[in-house]
Amino acid sequence: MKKFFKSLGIFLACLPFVMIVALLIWGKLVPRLFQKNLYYKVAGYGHSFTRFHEADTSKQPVDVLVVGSSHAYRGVDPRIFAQHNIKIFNLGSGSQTPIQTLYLLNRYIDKFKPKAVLYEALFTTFTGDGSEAAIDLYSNLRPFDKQLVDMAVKINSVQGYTTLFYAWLQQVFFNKSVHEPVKKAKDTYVKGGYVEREVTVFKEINSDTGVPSKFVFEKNQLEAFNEILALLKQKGVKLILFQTPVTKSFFSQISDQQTYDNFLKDKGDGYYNFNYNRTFAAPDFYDSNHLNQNGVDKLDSLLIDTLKANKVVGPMLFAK
Amino acid sequence: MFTNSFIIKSQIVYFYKPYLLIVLLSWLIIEWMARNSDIEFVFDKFKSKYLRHSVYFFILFMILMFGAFKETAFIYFQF
Repeated sequence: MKKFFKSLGIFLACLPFVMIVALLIWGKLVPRLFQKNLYYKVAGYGHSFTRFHEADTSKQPVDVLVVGSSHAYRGVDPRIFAQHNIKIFNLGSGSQTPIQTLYLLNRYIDKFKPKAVLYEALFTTFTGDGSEAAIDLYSNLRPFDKQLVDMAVKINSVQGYTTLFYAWLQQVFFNKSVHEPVKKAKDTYVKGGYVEREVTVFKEINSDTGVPSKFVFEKNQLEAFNEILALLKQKGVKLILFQTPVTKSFFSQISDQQTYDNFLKDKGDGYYNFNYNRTFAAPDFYDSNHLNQNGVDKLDSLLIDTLKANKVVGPMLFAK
Repeated sequence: MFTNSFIIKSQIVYFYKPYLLIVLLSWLIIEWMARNSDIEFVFDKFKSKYLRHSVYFFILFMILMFGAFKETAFIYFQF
């Protein structure tokens, strides 16, 4: 028995070192098709690496910080706001959920000192666990901090742990500089965190998305959202919530949008669901849920109006 | 029993999950090693303690890399 425990002790003591070496070898040498639970990809889709690098190196305060999913970083264009003398920085990232939004606000709010936060609150971000968006941050944020580890523990997914650990090992052992091209495929990165998409028009505007499902909040996301509200209140920063327009088929994925609207409408200093706005039509989208530049121009002029109006108005919602 | 589209879909799924080949191959090797005894005695075949421990490490790592813990559909991650 004594021999067994001694052997077990040696095995357990060696385990972390063996796993580190194995993870490094696996991540470096094995093709991605065989990396089922390792999703590390620096400077991948959505220009997150460039966006957060710009945020880390930026020294200028802004009027408005934008947070949210791809609808935010592909929908809120700093160039359009600059024409109205409003300086913004877009911290949106792919599939960003309240857990990542909270992290990003904690990381950047004192640096950017915004007067308001424009929060793009896509309904799907409250229903998922946030794994994908977390992995995007683990891969693209430098340097690491303890809050990223806390995020991984909160989400508690094996893909998250392996990717976080691998990303940390990359930074410790192979801290090589990364260069992300400004233009990748149809995307062009625009200073201030925005990604401009080549103008194309979505054809399957009325495609069937199946039976709509009920809206169910993920507990962790709700907790994070409440912490965001508390943080912004404590910092004296206004919060404007909005949903960008999506195609009818995408919008009808959930049967009780009204529940979600009712939840958000009194949470900040204003909530705007642009899906009820008739201005947007088929030629404004490049896929089922993202606006092309024509749609972005329309959306941003509406957002600018709401920002101007919001100095005086309280919570409101566009009528159906 | 199976429609053509079912067979085609199954093939597509397996085509995009080549790591399943590793799992299948591993099982074939284990089965072959245990051909003359019960499967729980497979590890007895590794006489050296270091080799046995290496196999344990390998199995643990494979579980970490290929285990199905919580299936999450990712939208943007493309390799």
